[in-house]
Amino acid sequence: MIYLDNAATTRVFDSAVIAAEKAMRDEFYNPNTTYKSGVKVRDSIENSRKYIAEKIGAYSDELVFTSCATESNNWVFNCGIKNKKGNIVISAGEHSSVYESAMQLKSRGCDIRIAPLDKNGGIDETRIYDLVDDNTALLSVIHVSNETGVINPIKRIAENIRKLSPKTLIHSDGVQGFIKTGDSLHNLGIDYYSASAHKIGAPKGIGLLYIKRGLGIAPYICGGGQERGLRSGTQNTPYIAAFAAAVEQFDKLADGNRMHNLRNDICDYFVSNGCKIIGDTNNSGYIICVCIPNAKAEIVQNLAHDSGVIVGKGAACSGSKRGNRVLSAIGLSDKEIECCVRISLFADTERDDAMNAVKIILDSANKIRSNHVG
Amino acid sequence: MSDNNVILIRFGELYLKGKNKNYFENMLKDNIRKKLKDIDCKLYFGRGRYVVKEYSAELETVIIEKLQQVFGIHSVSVARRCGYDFGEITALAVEMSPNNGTFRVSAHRSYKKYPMDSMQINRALGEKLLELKPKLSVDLHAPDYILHVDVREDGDVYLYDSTLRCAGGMPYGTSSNGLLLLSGGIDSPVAGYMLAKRGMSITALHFHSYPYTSEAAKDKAIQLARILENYCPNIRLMCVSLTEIQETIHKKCKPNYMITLVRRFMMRIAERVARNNGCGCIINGESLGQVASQTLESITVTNAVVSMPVFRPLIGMDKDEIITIAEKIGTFKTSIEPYEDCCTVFLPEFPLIKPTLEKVEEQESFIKNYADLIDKAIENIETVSISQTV
Repeated sequence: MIYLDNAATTRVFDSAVIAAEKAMRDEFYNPNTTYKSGVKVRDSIENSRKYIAEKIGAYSDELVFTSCATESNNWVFNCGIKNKKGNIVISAGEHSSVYESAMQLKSRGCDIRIAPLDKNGGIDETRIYDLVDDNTALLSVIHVSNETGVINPIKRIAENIRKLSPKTLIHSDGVQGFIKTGDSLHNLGIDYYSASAHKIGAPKGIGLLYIKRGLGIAPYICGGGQERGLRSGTQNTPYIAAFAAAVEQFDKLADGNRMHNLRNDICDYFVSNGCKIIGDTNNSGYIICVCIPNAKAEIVQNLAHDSGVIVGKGAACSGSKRGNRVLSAIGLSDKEIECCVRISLFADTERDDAMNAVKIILDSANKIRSNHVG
Repeated sequence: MSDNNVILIRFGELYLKGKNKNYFENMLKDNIRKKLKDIDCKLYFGRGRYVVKEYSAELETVIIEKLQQVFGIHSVSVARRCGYDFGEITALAVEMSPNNGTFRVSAHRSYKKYPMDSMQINRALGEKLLELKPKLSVDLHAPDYILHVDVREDGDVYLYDSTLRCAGGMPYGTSSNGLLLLSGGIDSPVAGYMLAKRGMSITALHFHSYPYTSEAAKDKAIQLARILENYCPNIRLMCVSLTEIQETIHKKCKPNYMITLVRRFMMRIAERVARNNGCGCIINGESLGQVASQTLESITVTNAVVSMPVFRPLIGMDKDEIITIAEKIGTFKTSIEPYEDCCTVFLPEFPLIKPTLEKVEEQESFIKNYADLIDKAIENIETVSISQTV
């Protein structure tokens, strides 16, 4: 099976499995105890935190482990906003965990402003600057679109927002950008950044929130005061170990140029076969959203699966909802959206596999077209 | 909670039965036994009343929930038990009743040899309560609190103050077998529930069109069958692929006849499956005029291909009435997960609202391998296991 739905989740690296197993079998002690074995586990957590922090250009005391990026995003919207009476600006391309959190605040009377996307799927920068004012409490812009792979210029946006409204806090949902874009968080100049480990070869159930040093945030989950009082609940030590191991492994494997070349070749192949690539500028090398005319993505997905290829269609999180909010925001018609397949690569995706898979995807689409359904 | 807590079970329509009452009662007892088989308790089946005894207090809610899923049970009450001694009855009544407000005692004496009759019990117990709880007063018409006293055979007296309505209907398994067409939408599980409530054993048939419909859509039908299993013990689910049939119709016939023709195929397949599986009828979730395929004309055309009875328990119900039941039985949330089902693929822009038999048969005549397609669909039928495995 050729797996090309890595934006949904990834296979766990062997090294991450080994790290988790070791933490489960040998270093299973509660990290919050005072005896030697417990303290050793606490040290392991801190080592993992430090390692991850270094890889992403942050201080280790800026990272708090959470259960997933959805939790991190919810945390920011529920506890990370200082100016309670201010407005909030998000982009139309946000993941549902940001979008729904914002909508929840809207239902409580908060002024939520949504910045539109341009036709390539990136955020319309000029509109953001129009929407943000002195009273903007939070700006949240997704780093890399989970639908199209488009990279938003977070650094530039942050710089401009600081000039426009210095008090505005800036959050970026970095699930598809974390590690992959190679950006340093300090360099991005933001206040909050959410990440999820299962997109880079670690298990599901562990994520983090970057909170810029000096920024006080109330905990979202209260209790035993773990994670410096910011996120209670006994730390998920096996998965934190696996997270760090996955970051290490991913970093070893990742080759940005190779991914970009592979992505370009895949895109070229699709385009030469009459397909349309959605979001074809400044794109992450890992995600390709392709509209295959007159072939419903769901059927393509099923046929391709039966031929040994797994691809996505839209975000898996929103898989049970009709339509696609983000692709609609780009201006795609319902008919086009129905035909959008999402191919997402991983650091270890072999070129031959990917190109074979693309052929199988197109064969599946042709099969559907020959039956005149789509 | 005291060890003397019991659950009284009352059955509904069964009391209308004549000489075959035993058959229905035995089935009901059997269904109750099976429903509570994993729970440590004792069942006592008396005349007109069943009692669940000797269970641990924390299981009470679970037992009631389970009993509410057994058809044939009209209502249940959690009661406290004591013996015939009037002092004992009084002590329990004092313990259970509130200290102020209005009340009434409502006694029922099915053990006719008990020295006091119902009216005497009402009066004597009322008097005692008034004497011991001076802030209480009697209101026979609209009291805040009603204390029921049920004097039974075998030295049992039950006191209770509330009654929970249950599913009602007839014991499951007493009204033959029916084949439910289970689509995955809101209506069909409710239709199955309605017939099961009248005692019919249900076998479910799901049509899918993989790869045009997803695995998730089929899984949804399995989930729904699992929920129905709470009410329909041992429900079976069979899945039939309509893919080839739909592809053939798509190629050979006019697009706006798609749904009508598919539904005629479905009915033919359903009738054969029903006969092969000992089912005497087909059950579906049609509601008159809800969609194009559920107009009288469409139903006439689809019904024309089968000779066995087709039950449509929802035919006169509004969508919101159906949703209310779906929510009550727990299928609604699963039903609204919007995966495509086989009726939504190859969907024409303007389906026929008023097809005629003549024209439909003409379209069907373009499909030369009609019988083969049905044979093949039935041959490839897949029986899906409903029981949950860990």
